[in-house]
Amino acid sequence: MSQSSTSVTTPEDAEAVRGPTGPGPEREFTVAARSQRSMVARRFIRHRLAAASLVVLVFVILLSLVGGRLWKYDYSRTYSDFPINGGPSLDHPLGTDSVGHDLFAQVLRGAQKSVQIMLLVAIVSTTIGIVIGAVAGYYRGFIDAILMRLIDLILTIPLLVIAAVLSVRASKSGSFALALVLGALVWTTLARIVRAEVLSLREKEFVEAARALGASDRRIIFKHLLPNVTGSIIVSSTLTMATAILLETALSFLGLGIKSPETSLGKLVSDGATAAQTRPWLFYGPGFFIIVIVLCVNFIGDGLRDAFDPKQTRVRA
Amino acid sequence: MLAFIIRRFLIAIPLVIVSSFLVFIMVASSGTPQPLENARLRPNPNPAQIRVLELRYHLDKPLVTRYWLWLKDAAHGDLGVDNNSRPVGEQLRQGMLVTLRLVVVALVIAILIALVVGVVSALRQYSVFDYSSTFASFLFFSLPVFWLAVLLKEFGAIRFNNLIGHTWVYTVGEQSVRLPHSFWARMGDYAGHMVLPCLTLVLISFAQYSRFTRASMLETMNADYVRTATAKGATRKRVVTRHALRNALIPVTTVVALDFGAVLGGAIITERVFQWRGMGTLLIRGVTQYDPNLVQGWLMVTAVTVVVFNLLADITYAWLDPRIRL
Repeated sequence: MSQSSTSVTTPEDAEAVRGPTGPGPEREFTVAARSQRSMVARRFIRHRLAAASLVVLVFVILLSLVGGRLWKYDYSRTYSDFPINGGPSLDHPLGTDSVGHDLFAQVLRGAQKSVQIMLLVAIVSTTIGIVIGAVAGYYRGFIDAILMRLIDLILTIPLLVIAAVLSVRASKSGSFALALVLGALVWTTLARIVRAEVLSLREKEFVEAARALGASDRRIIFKHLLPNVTGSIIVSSTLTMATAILLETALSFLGLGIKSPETSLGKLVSDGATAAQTRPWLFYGPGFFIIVIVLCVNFIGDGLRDAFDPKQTRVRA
Repeated sequence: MLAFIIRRFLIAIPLVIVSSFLVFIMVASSGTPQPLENARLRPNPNPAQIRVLELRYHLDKPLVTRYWLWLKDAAHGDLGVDNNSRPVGEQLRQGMLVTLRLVVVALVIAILIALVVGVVSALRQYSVFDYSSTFASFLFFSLPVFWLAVLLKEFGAIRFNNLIGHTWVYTVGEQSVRLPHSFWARMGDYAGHMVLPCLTLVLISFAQYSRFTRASMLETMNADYVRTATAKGATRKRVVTRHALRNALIPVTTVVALDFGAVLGGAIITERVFQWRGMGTLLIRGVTQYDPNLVQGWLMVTAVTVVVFNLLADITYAWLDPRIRL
């Protein structure tokens, strides 16, 4: 991305270029100095759809993380006075299932699991992607060739299928292992993006300067190169989260993902799929949550992409 | 051009072989084959039977030897037999025919729609059409594949059949159990079974392609050579189709090629919803029953398909962009 063209590489350097923030006594007039971060934030907030999505997503995540404790029914208990297969009502906003669980409690629990998986996958895949991409791009040559062929290898087989084969075993050890497996598979796009940007950045003068000052490879990569790739990394990891939720959903539908007694949105919606005609609330309730989460994540990713793009001058409504 | 194709082909061969080795390790470590597992877990296990089964799966030999045995057979086109002693190759061939029929038709339709939608929304940026197609794309690639499939199955099919008065859109299977004799009736039967699964895949994949087409079309329409073309008096139509679109197609080709695996993955789920007897059914059977030969064969056939598809994309790429013709 062409934000590399700014010679600002580290926060300290940026500080030095901008001068001390705030109106200093020795300055006659102040120029509203804006850091790149605040510029990105401003652009992002102006992208109304993305900003709204962020609010909704934060709300859904909070709801999923603490909502289960606040809601009056427990997700795992069946209550004898519940209507079985009851449609949505005031008491049970998403209805009840065939055993007598309150579906809203289950959806909250499922959302919690799905959000946990989503975040864990994002963390794992971003870490792997950054390290592999940066190493391949910085050292080039043999290491680069090996790592890029590794990505080619992973890409010869559909992601869902490798995940399916590996998760048969992993899903027995719980959702944590499943998330690790997914995270270990979805880093390829990010690694390619990071590699491409590092390849061009490493030829820039400021890297040469850092090297002349005797900076170690590690310092150059982490202090000088990666901060310049932050934008792309954030955008890509955001979109990875959407992939993670959809993958988990697909695996659970195939019966290879989350196993009972654990539950996730994907598992709930695939349990409800057979009853889509007769008891539609079992299918639409959890499905609605998935769509809201994924849609929000995608809108946020799109908004961030525009916000980080220095070429972007017009802000879309 | 021929040299280019041959060279790409030669690069692809080691890729497939290394991939087969990694896949072999992955499959071997994913579990014990079902029959062996059953024999071992029986109340009073029969050592002789267990021994026979272990020999059948070559479990007495080291992993590398097992891989070598498999590779030797595979090189002769023999992918071994599954847990029920039926040949894997034949099942995969039939499954692949069914799945590719779905994937290829869906892909062609999705690309065509995506190109039209992408180009129009790039040419009329920020118009109502642009906003609504953007929103539709976001919605469709945020949907879980099977959610959309179930939706279409439960509501689309029944409404449509009621509307036209007889059952033409089917929701189960890839063809009727008893195919009609005349050629056209048979094609109609295939088509009727294909409508919904195809529609599912088209909606899911067109979304991403059209976003990409729009983005790369916007980029080329702002390029200097397009301004030059307009300035020298080329008609709008010529500028759009010959100058902008042709260049915009280059990145789109890459995305379609890279995304092919995802479309196959989507096809597996779609098949599951509509109960097609394609690759999806085979994979799920293989994975849940720990059928090593079936899963291994499945993964290799898919890997070869993906590699061939990428090769086709490379050729398209070279055709679209004369600068990289080597």
